[in-house]
Amino acid sequence: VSDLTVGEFELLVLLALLRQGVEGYGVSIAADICERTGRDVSLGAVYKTLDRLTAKGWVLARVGDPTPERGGRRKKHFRLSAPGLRALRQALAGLRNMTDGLESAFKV
Amino acid sequence: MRPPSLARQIVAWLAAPESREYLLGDLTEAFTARLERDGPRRARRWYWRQALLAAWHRGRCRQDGSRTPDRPQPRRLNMSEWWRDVRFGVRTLARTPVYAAVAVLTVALAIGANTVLFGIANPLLVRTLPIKDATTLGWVLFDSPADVNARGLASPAQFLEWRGQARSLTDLAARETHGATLTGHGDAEHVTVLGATASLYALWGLHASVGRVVSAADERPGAPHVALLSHHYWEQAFQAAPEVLGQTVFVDSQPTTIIGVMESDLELYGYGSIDLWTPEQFEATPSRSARTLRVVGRLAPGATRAQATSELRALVTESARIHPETDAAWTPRVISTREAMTSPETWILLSLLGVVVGFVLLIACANLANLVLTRLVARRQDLAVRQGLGASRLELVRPLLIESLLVGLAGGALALAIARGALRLINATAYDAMLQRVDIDRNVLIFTAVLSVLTPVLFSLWPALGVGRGSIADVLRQARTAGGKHTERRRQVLVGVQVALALSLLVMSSLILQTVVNYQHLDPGFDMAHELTFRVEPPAHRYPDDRSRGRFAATAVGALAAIPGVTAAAAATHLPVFDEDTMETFTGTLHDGQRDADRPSASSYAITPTFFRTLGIPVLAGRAFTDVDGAGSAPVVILGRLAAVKYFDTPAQALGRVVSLGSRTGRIEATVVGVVGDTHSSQVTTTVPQLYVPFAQRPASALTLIVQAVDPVTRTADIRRTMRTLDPEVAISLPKTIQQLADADRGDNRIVGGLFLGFAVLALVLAAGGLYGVIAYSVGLRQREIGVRLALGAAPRSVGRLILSESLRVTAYGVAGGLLLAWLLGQAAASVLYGVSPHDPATFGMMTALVFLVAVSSVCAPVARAMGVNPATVLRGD
Repeated sequence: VSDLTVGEFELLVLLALLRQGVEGYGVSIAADICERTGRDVSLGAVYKTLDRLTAKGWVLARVGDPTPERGGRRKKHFRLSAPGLRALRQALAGLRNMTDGLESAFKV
Repeated sequence: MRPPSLARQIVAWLAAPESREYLLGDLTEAFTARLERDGPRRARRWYWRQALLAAWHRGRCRQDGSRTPDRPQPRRLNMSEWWRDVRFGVRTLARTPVYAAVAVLTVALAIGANTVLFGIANPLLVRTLPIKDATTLGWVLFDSPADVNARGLASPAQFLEWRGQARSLTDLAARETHGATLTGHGDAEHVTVLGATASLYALWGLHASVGRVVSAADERPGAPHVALLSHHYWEQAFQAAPEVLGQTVFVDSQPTTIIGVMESDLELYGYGSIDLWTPEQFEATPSRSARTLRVVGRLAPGATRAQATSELRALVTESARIHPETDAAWTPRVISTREAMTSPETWILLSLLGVVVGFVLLIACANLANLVLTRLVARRQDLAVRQGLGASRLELVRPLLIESLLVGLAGGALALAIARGALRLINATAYDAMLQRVDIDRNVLIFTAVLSVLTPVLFSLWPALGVGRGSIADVLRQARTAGGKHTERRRQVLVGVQVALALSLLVMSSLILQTVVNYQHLDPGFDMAHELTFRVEPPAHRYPDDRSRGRFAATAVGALAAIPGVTAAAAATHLPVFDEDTMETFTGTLHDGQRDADRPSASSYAITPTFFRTLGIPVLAGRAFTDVDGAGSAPVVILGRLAAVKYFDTPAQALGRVVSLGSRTGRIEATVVGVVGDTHSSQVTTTVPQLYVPFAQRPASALTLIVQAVDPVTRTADIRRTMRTLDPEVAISLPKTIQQLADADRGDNRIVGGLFLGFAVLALVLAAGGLYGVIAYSVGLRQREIGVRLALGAAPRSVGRLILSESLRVTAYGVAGGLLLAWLLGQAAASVLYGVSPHDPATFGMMTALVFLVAVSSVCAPVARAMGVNPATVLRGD
């Protein structure tokens, strides 16, 4: 697995971030993925992936204010960086190319 | 409501330090949301799931941590190797679900059995007593050579002597409980009184929450009567009013001043039900013959119980020289608090149960060791290759140990659930107050946790020791013929031991079960199905003399018998079996006077004429008492059969004889007018000579009333009403059926029997499983050998015989060992058995047969498989 390929779960996280703009964070990303794919994702897994994406430079983090419902802990917001957006485009393009001409198989 | 703290700590510990705060914040936020939506239960479960998933992911990322730029520290690397093995173990177990299920269930049942027993014994072993420094207390008991079971009491004179002279036992305190009638505050009430010396309060560290406790001045003869209210009685009868201080009540018509309220109820023996605490007042010339006091003291610094015992014995020997008739027969003994709190029978039963569950655990371990051995053999090549590549023995064994630990921990968790269910069942069915409360507490949790770790070590260590031994090349070469003579032998030894343990448990449990059944069907010599009984103490100021007491008994019996649905009623000084016997000596028999020890004695009862009819005791010769046998008429007596036979040879010969009995007014000469069937004594299983006198001729100040009805419980309200109409100042105790008394006494035997039975069956099933496993495995390994035998013309029957005889040989060795062990266990159990010999041949024979039967049926399947081997298929496979 090279640093430039996008893993399946990474792809889901990147897409969720894209949808949520600058306000995305752990809970909202996990909820989004769960809602749309039906996959019960753990927050730990989401954070693991976010950390990795941050390390790759695809995601930028911003620390927000602590709130009482978080037990007084601060919140970390994530958004896509330019390289992240590029990697996402690339991955989706690859996916589209792979599905090209297979539309009949996906029809319900 | 906050997230479960343990789960939160797991997450905090596992999360990468840079994202810890945010992850925890997110989890808390989502938890709060779920709390509102799904409720606390599901929210907590969700949080736990998150924590465990985090742990799982963390481990996985650690494992491929070498790819990440920040390479983990060496120590961490090691940790992650262990973690990898944990994950590997989980996966291996998941791949062999049958093994996993069998192993976990085996561990769970074995540890569960141990947990149940520990849960029961726990309060006895480690409970903290509500008294001060219980470990340095010395409790005085008496052994009487005439009756080893008698736990005698001290006389006031004796106690005062000791208090003045004993050096090794200080702060001596005496106490006694008795009933009394309390008047002068609302209705007359029957109360339980604890009379105690002032020293007891200091010795046990008891305090008053209101007022003061008893002082030494209150003990002196002629001191004004004072009393403390117990905490619960203060709340119940006085509505917890602080003004009770200085109030005067009448205890057995003695004006008594309330000086205080006890801080709390004393949860010790039955002392929680004490209503009043009074000083133990000694008379100017204290009695030497009335043994009423229980004595306890504190061991002097440096003194042992043995020293205290010998010192008290020396004092008693001294006083016995002067007062042989009262002091000679009693030998004091100083025992520890733990001994004093629990009867020796309880300890014996608990120890036996401890042996049983210990054996169950050993059998389970032997089973699992066998399974582990099988798995090791299957992985033999894999292990040899690893060893060849340079893995150390620890590295070879570690996955196995971790896999076993996982099994142990999962089994332990399941064991807790099983034990919880079992303890709940015991709570619901027990009569004993302590058994009704046994539960899983911190101690039990620790116990189970330790077992869950020790058990896997125990069952995987032995197989693991063989790992990495022997030549690698050998292993790789003889790939197909796994096992080998050595492991084969090991397995058979394990199974033999299992069979031995299981058989010994079966025999012992069967003996105990027979004892329980014998107790259940015990015929005490009277009817127990239709009687209701209660106790009354007519207050002395209204019934001051014998005449009035006798009249009260007769009137009460008449009134009770008149209640519709009541078929008979009677009064007596006390009940057989359920009350202590009061022995009385008499003269005038055929066997008088040879030796002092032969002086005829009998357990005596004073009864109203209808007593025998009400309790269904048969009159064997002569007649029962009638109303003619009143206070003024000629003294008469009725003997039990045993007394008649023992002292007059036959019941017929006893009739008409005159015996001389003691009484308050000197000796009286009473004529034997009848002989009745024996009832059992307070020792429950045995009987003693008995004699009966008419209540009218010897009325007691307190009496037990007995009412016979077809459906006795429904008559309770009528009985209360009748007694109230008779005299509202007479307090009555709660009416109970005799069956209820019997249940309270020994109903919990069922639980003991159930535990023994359950554990023994568990042992048998586990041992049968072990036998099956070993034989099935050996058949599997010997497919080729069997195939060759069949190809060379052996009949399938003879092959079957071969396998069967192998398993029977192992069983036979086990049975031999088991019988020996059962003999020893029977010996140890002898003192708690009743109605069955500890070496009962029928039990030994039947259990042996059962073990063989189970052995044969458990190897049926493998034997059939061996007979069905197709030589062609097997040999082609080569």
